[in-house]
Amino acid sequence: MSSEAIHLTNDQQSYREKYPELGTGPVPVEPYMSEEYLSKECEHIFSKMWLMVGRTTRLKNVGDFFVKNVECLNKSIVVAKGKDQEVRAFYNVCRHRGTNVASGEGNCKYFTCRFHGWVYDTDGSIAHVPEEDQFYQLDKSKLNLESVHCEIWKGFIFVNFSDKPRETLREQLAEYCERFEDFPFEEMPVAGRWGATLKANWKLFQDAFQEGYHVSTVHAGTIGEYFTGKRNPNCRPYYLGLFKRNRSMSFSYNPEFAPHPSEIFAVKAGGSLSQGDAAKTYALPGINPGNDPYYSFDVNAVFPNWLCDTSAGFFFIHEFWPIDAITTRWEASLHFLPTNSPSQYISQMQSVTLLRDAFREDIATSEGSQAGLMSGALREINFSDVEIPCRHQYQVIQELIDNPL
Amino acid sequence: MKRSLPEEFEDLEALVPYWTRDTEAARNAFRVSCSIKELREFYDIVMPRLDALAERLEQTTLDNMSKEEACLLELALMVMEVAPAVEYYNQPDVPNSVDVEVLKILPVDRAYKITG
Repeated sequence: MSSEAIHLTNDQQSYREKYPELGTGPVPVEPYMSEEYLSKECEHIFSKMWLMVGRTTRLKNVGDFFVKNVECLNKSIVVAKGKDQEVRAFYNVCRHRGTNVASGEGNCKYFTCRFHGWVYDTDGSIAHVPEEDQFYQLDKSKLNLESVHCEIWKGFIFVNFSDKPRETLREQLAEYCERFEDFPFEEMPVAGRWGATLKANWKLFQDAFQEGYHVSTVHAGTIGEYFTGKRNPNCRPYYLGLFKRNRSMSFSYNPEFAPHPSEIFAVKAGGSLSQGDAAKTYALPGINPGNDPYYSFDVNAVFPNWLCDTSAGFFFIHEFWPIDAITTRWEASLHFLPTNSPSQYISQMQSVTLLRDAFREDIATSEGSQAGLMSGALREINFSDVEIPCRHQYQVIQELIDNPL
Repeated sequence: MKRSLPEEFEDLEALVPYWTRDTEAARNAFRVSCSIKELREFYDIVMPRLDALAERLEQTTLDNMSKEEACLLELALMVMEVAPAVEYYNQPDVPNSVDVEVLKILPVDRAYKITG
């Protein structure tokens, strides 16, 4: 599949012609509410593919660790930096009788199981078994915490739960590897980080962030005006590219947007989501593939459950983790180019506040959609031409269920 | 009264005990606990001074702030937290949204250091 820039005010539907294999018909509701469907997604997607679990910046020092729960697979893992500076992932499961060895995040010298005190090194190897002589034929060479495939790309940590990953991480990231090879993700510290457990299917919630059609309505009270206006009243993407499993879009800002005092300050100080033309000052490699003169930001959907949205001077990411078919654990964070300037930091907090509040609007409409689907009133839903990224996500998943990797 | 802001911002001193918080979570929790009238009063006092405030803070850097400068910074950060309520929502919390408790604001490393 390839990509193209569209004329924003053209009424002709264009994507269905560009991507005829995705179809135009209604989409069944089952994928967005059925436990049976989720179990297929777990079997064919979450169990087999590389999953982004966090950034290496959370593991600065030896012994830093965080626990990541992947509820839909009944898995809990520990991601930790060992004495050799290596980042590893292992099951959060003691070799003795299965209890977890860590919780939350922090720094430790050893992981100690709370049940009977078995001790593991930060590289996952067994360090001590209390009353070892009371066990029968204990082979300590087989008592290290069970490891999980773990790889790093640009400071993002990925894990893979299959015995033998079907694809390398780079194969799965595909076109993004090259496009963002020089984007300074690793240098960009987190300015805001948020999470929620919400009543919506993981795809349904992810879809809220990969189309602009909802922006003028859902975000009428926050960021709507910045992204709509006369040039582009319904926030169509300026650029849209659908790939094998990933997808990418770019959205424009409204050149007639009238900023409020806090936004005027933020743009002047530098480091703002609503920076308008100042985006040109902070341009970074890989952004704005459509060369939009009114470029605002890119949505980059990295299959299966990660969005890594890039822009000039900042990026923000979303993780969508199914807990069950109608419950999602979502995590998001916003990152800016590093600064030592107090006024730029003040500016960043303007973006943090407004983006966070806008996310709460998305949670509300997504939970509303889910409740509607759960009522049983609908058998199918309809995606428009500009909502083709949502259709693409549905089709890619269906394809992987029908023809497993 | 003990001075907690740089001298030239003495007129804002009375705001400090109520309006300074050092994390996003604390600022947001405070915002939604206020009335829009209180938020507007705060905004109306500090927003017109924001440029002057930023200019003063630019005399230092985030990694090298005095207690007084950090306090001034936190006042500015609160303005940014309060701004959407005043400029967009006309109420303390974002309308047509989920309960404020649904979205958890997670901790991040503090971006500024108090050295003096």
